[in-house]
Amino acid sequence: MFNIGYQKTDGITLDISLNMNQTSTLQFRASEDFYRLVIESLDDYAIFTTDIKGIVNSWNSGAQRILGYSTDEIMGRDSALFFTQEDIDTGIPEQELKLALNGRFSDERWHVRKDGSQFWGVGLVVSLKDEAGKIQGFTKIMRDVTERRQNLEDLKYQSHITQLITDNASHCLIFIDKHGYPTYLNPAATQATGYTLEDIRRKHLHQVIHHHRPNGRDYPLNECPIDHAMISMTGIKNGEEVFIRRSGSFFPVSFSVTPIEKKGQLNGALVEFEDITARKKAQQTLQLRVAQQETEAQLGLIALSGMDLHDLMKIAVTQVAKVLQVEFTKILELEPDGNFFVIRAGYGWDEDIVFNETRIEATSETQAGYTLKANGPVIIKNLQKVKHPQGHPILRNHGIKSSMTVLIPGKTNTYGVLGAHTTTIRNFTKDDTNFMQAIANVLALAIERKKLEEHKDEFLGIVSHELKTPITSLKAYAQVLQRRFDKEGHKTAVEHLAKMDDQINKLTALIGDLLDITKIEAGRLRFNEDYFDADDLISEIIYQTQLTTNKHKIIRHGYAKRKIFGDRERVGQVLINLLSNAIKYSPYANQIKVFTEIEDPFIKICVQDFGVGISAEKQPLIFERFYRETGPAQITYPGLGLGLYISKEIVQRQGGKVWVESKKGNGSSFCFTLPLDK
Amino acid sequence: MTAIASKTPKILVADDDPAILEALTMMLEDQGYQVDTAVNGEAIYKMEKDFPDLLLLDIWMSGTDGRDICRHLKQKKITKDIPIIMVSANKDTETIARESGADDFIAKPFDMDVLLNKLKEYLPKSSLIPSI
Repeated sequence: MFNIGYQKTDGITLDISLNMNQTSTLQFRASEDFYRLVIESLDDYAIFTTDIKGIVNSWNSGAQRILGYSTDEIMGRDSALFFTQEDIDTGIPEQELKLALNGRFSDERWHVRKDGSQFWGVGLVVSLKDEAGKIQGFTKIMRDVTERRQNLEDLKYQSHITQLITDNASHCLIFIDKHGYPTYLNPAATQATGYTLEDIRRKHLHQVIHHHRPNGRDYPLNECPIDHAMISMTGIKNGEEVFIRRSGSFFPVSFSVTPIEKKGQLNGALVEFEDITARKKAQQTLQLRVAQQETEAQLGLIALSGMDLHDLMKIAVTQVAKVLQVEFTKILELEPDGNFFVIRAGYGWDEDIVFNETRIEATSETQAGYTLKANGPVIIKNLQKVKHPQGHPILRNHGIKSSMTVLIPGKTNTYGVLGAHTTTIRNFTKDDTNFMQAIANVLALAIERKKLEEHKDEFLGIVSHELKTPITSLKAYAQVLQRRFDKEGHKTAVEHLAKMDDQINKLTALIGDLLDITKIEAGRLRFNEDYFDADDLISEIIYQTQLTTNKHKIIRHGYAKRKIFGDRERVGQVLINLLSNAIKYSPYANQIKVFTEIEDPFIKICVQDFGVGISAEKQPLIFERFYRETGPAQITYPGLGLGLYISKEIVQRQGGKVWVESKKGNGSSFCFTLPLDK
Repeated sequence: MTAIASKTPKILVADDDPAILEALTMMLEDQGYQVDTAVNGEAIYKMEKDFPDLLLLDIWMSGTDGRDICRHLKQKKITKDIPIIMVSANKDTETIARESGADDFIAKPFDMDVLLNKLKEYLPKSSLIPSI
């Protein structure tokens, strides 16, 4: 406890105010023991004294605890022991003593314990003076603050790391104080905005990067979402705004705001943002590409639907202009001799240029001609600056600068070109070219299809003409002969010739059916519609048909007593078909009934036979192409099996319905309706 | 005889098929008509005199469009009053035929009665002496 027997040290004045019993306390206070007690009680502190050379001559328990040496071990040894080798080498112990000579000296450094381990100690060295004022030695008071230091080190390290993160973050970070003034900008933020912290620390952040909207209108602070976030102390994530650079240019950002609280109050905020110009541009490009592809697909479908070529071209030029966002587009057709193009469709030009089918030379001086010779897509960035091609005067008159032209391919020869033009400089991309070419290809398909159809029509016309030619003279002769023999009374001859005439009519009908079928297939069945007297037509047909059979009596029931709207010829054709079927399929019957009824807004005509009837399963089949009923012993009734199919088409396309009511063995009733009016 | 002899109506039949021309000639002459024939359109264009009283015109005569001939004749003062009946293998062409100015239309192969009725409609009452 007390270390007695060592050199006394004087000169320490301890001012202790103790509330103790006067006598004993005074006595106690006066004794050395008292002071030692005091010193010993302070075992958080290493308190020891040294002579003028630094040799230890007193030691407290605190010193033992902190430095590890016991009193026996350390007395008489140099206090330089407690320094690190490094410090000893650089003469720190001597320096310390020297400085202490002038008064007091405090320091913080690593110290070494008895076991060699180090600790961070904060120390105070005071010179010890005797009563004469002569320095006898030193007192050192030391405290182990390793933990504190460690915490500090940790904190510094944390801070360093944080700084590292913010400095190197690719996202832009701006810290603002509770008033909205920036306190920190990371390098990314500086790069994005063009400002350093110094530039803007005295300004409100909103006034620096957010004061206007891209459209030029003012952006007042009270509308700013960042400000709102701060005031309401709620964060924003994934917001989108447009900030302003130092240069004055706008850039789109995705941002978040995190308010920083201190003791429940707003202390500032972290604004984190990212320049999304590139992302937005990529989005735009993607959207554009999607729009292009949709247009390609749509146009393809329209082309396949068999729309009129002229209408298709009009749609094509309009759509291309919209999707590519160009002011002018055009389709030019190359004339057969290859010397001129003719404008077939256009968008953006004056009406009469397209309407008057303006012709453009196919030389290499016109864009179209140039593209033809280049045999591939041609892009001209600035027509006014290139020497070749000069471009047709029309282009120059419209102030055209940038153009893109692609060829519309044909089976053997190029059909023509599809062109797009702008009056401002435009950099057409590969996507743009691909899109134009896709549209041109769709057009090529449609054109090819139309040519084929025209050829087909031509062919059909020729076939029809050729087949009917010999039949015409055949019929003429048969009829003339019939008349002659009739005049001379040759009844048998007349009968035979009548039968021949019948067959000729059948042949004619068959050819007609064939032609109708091809027209229906191609969607080109046309009607000559007008109002006609229904009863009149029915009478006529019944009369004609009656001539072909003396076995069946055609009985008529009901009258329309009005005109109806439709193609008289074709409606007659349907009735003829139904009547001839009735005759054909009721060889053992002797009558056929024709019913006429008005069922507003339709007229209904039924032809009833008393033949074999049609079974329920077969009923839906009979209206199909090439279906032929088989009779007893599997005899197939003659005919191509087209009559009912064609009749169905004719009736349906005029807005009516056709159906059969029949029971096997009980005859059939074929009915059709037609709208009375247009 | 003091009565003015009625003129036998002259029909000009234009068709590029000789068989049809023959058959029609026979058929119409039997009815007492006078028949002239033309195998192509040129002959009709070149007509300067001896005009027929009626023209049976095929719409398609190898290379010549009957509608053009029809329009041509209907425009010329001296021929515009000649009735023209357009003939076609395709009954759908009736509207187009009428649009070019034809007075009537008949489809091939035609029924003799139908043709004869039409002829009576357009030709003046005359003393036709049909042999049949």
